[in-house]
Amino acid sequence: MLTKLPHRMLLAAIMCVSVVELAMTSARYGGALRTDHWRRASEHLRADTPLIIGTPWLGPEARMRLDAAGAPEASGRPDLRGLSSFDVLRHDRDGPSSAHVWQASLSPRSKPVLLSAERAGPLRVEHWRVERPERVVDTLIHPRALRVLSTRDVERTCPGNPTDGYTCPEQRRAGHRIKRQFAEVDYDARRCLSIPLLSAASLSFRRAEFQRGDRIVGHLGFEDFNARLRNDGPVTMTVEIEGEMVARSTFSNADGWAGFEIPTTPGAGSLTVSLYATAPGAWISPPERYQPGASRRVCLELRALDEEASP
Amino acid sequence: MNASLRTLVTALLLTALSFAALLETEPSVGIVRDEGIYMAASRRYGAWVEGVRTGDVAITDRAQRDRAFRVNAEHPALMKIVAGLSAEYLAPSQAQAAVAGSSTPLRESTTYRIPAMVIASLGVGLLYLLGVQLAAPIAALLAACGFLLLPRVFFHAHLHCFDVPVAIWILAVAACWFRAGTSRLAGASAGLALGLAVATKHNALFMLPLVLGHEGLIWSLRWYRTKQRPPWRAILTLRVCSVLLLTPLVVLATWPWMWADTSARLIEYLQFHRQHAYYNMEFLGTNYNEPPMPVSYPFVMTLATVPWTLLALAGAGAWSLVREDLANICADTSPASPPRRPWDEFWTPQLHAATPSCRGLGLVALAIFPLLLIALPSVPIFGGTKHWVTAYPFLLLLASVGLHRLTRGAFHNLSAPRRAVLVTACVACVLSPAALSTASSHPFETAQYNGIIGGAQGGARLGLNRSYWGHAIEGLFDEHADANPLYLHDIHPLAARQYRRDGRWPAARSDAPLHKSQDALLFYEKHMTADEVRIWNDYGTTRPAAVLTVEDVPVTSLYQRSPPRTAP
Repeated sequence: MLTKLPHRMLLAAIMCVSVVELAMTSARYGGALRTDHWRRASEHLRADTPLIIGTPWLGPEARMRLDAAGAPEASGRPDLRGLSSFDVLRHDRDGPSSAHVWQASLSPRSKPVLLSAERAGPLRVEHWRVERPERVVDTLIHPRALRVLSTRDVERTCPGNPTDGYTCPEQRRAGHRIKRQFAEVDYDARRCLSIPLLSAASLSFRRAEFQRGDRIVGHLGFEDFNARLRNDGPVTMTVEIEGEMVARSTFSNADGWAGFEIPTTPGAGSLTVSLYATAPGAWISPPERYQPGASRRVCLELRALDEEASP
Repeated sequence: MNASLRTLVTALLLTALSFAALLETEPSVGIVRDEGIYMAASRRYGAWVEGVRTGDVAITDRAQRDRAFRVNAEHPALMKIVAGLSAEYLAPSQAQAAVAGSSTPLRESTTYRIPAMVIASLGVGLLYLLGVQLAAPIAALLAACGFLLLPRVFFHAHLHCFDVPVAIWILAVAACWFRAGTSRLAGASAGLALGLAVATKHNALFMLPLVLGHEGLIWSLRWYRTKQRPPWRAILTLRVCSVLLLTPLVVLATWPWMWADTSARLIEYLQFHRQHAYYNMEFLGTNYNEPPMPVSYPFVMTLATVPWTLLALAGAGAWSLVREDLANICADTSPASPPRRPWDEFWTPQLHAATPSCRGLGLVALAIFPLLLIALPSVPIFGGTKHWVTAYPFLLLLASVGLHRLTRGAFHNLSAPRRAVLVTACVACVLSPAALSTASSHPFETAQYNGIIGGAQGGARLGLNRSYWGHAIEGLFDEHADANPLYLHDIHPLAARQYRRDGRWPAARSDAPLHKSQDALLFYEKHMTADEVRIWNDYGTTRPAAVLTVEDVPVTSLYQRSPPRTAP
C-alpha cells in the first residue's frame, strides 16, 4: 500500500494538477501573436515617440515588424534620460509595467507617468510621459560631435572619420578601430563609442567646444561576454573640463553597464575624456594563463544634460 | 491470447508506432552541431566496416583503421558504426542522388538517424514490458508513452546523438540486473547491455559503481538478516561477473580506435571528458560558462521541463517501492529454493538465498543519480537536460507504479471494466500536457517548458536557456530561398555540408564569414547577444528578415544585408 492517505484524495489532487497543466499548456499552444496584432500595435504607437521593448523576448519580432523598433536608433539606448515621453511594448501576460522600472533609467528629479495603455491581442502598448524631463545639450558619440573629436594615443593623432572610425597608429596592424557602433555589454546591446584598449597605454578624446548643461552623464562597460569572463585589468577614466579634472573613476569587468554623473556649470568649452588600462593583457581561466597582448574593448557614451524648462 | 503474449504484442506495437512517429516527424528536425561531426565520422566508420566486409580493407591494418576512427575519437564508436552502416545500406545511392539533385524517399541524414530512432522506439517497448512487471498493463502505458512524449526526449530521440540511446541501454542494464536474481539469461546479458551502453556514451561508466554498490548492499543485508557474514564469493554472482568481464570486451570489440595504444588512448578518452570545456548555459537569467554551476540547476530544469503530474506520480511510486523494500528487508523470509549445489547462488542468487532484491531502492537510485551527478559543482556543464535524460526512463517507471497503486487503492471497489476505463482516463489525462507541449513546440522542443511555468514564454521570462546546438531553422528559408553566402552562426560547417548533401539547402549556398555574407543566422541564447550586435554593425540594420518562434518566443533570426521591410 502506498500510504495511509486516502488514495482517492491523492489521485484527485494529482489529476487536478494535470488538468491545470493541460489548461495552461493549451492556452499557449502554438502561440497567439498574429500579423494583425502587430499592425494594431503599430497603430497605437505615437509618432516621433521612442519605443521601449518592455518584454525583451519580443525584441526580434518587434524590430522586424514595427518601424519604431526596427530603426537603428531605437536599439542600444543607454538609458531614458533626455526623453520627455516614450511608448512601451509588452506582452500582456507580463502585465502593466511598473514606474519604478523606468525611474531607474531616469534622473531622480524626473518622474515617469503612465498616460494610457492599449491592447493589440496579446500585445500591450503603454504611453508614458516624463515629468521634469532632462534635455540633451550635447553628446560625445553623436556623428556631428565625432567630427570635431580629436583622438589621441600617446600624443599622436589617430586619423579617421565618423563613418569609418578612427585608427590609432599602434592599432593599425591589428585593424582595430574606434567607432560609434553597437556593442554588447552585460548581455545587452548598447550604442556607444567602441574603443579598443590594447595595452597599458591611454586614449584621450578631446572636444574643443563641448556644450555643457548642468550635468554630464554617461556609461562605460566592457564589451564581449567572453572578455568579461576573463579577469582583465580595470580601466580608469578621467574627465577634464577646460583643462581641470572633474571626475576620475575606475571600472572593472564586474561593473557591467556602469553609469556616472558629473555636475557641471552650463556653458561651452573643451572636454577631454581619457581612458587608462591599469594593467596590460588579461588573465584567462585557468588563472595561470596570462596573456600580455590580449585586447579588450570598452564601450563609452557621454552626454551633457540640463533640466528642461517647465512648460 | 494469453497475458504474456498480449504484453509482448503491445510492446511491439508501441515500438512500431514510436518509430513511425519519429520517422514521420524527423524531416523537420534540424541537424544539431554535434550531429554534423557524428555524421561525418559515421561515413568514415561505416566505409571502413564495409571495406572490411568486402575485403578491400584489412582489419589488421592499423594505419587504415586509425585513419577511419581518428575522427571524433573522443566518443565510443558503436552508434557511429551502426549509423554509418545504416547510411551505407539504406541510402546507397544517396550521395549520387544529392549530386544529381533528384529526390529520394529518405534523406542521407535520416538514414544516419534511424539507428538512434530504432533504439528509442525499442526503449518505449522495453518501458512497457517493465511497466507491466512493476505495475499493470494500462499504467505501463504511462511509462512507455510518457517517456517519448516528453518534449525534450521527443526531440533528442530523433538525433544521431548518444543521449537517448545511452538512456535506453542503461534501462536495459537495469532490466537485466534486477531480473538476474531469478534468471540466468538476464544475469549473463547484464554485461552485454552495459557494454553496449558504455560503447554508446561515457556516462554509462557510472553504472558500474552503481550496480556493484547494489550488489554490495544486498550482500550486507544478507549479513544483517542472517546475523552471519556471507562468504565473499556470494558477492561474485553471475551478473557481477558478466559486467566485470563482458562489458570491457564489448566496448573494446566495438571501438577499433582502442585496438592499438589502448591504455594511452583510454586515458586520453577519460581525460577529455573529465576536463570537458564548459559551455555557456543561461540559468535563471545568469549566463554560466565557468564552474561552479548552481547545485539546483538539474533539479530546477527538471521541474521546468517535466510535467509536474509525472513527477508527483514518480514521487508516489518511489515512496511506495522504497517502503516495500524496507519492509522486505526487515521481514524474516527464507529462500524460495535453498541451494543444493555450491554454485546455485551464483546463477540465481535470489532463488537460493535469503536476500531481498532491493529493486525499488535501485530504481529510485537510478532515477536520482544522474541529477545528483550533474549537480556536483565540479562536473563540467556542457549542455542541458539531455545530460540527465538517463534518469527519465526510471522516473517514468516510478510514475507508472505510483499511478497503478493509487488507482488500485482508489478504485478497488469498482468492477474490472469500470476500473480499466478510469485508469485509462487517468493515463490519458497525465499524458496530455506533455503531448500538447511537444506538439506545440516541435521541432524546436529545446525551447519548450512546462505549462505551469508558462511554456516557452515562461522559460524566457525566467531566464532559462532557450535553444542550443544551432538546429532551429525549419521553415526559415521558405520565403528566403536565395543561395546567398550564409553566415552560419552556431551551425557547425559539417552540419551545413550535410544540409547540402541532403538537398535541404541549395548546393550553391556557401558558408561565409560575416563580412562576406549576404544572409546571417542568429540563434538566440543569452551569450549570443555579442554575435547579434556584430551582425547589426556589419549589415547596418537591426531588423531581421525572418524570425522563427516557439509559442511567440524567438529562437532564430535570419538577417539579410538589404532586408525587405515587412508590413506590420
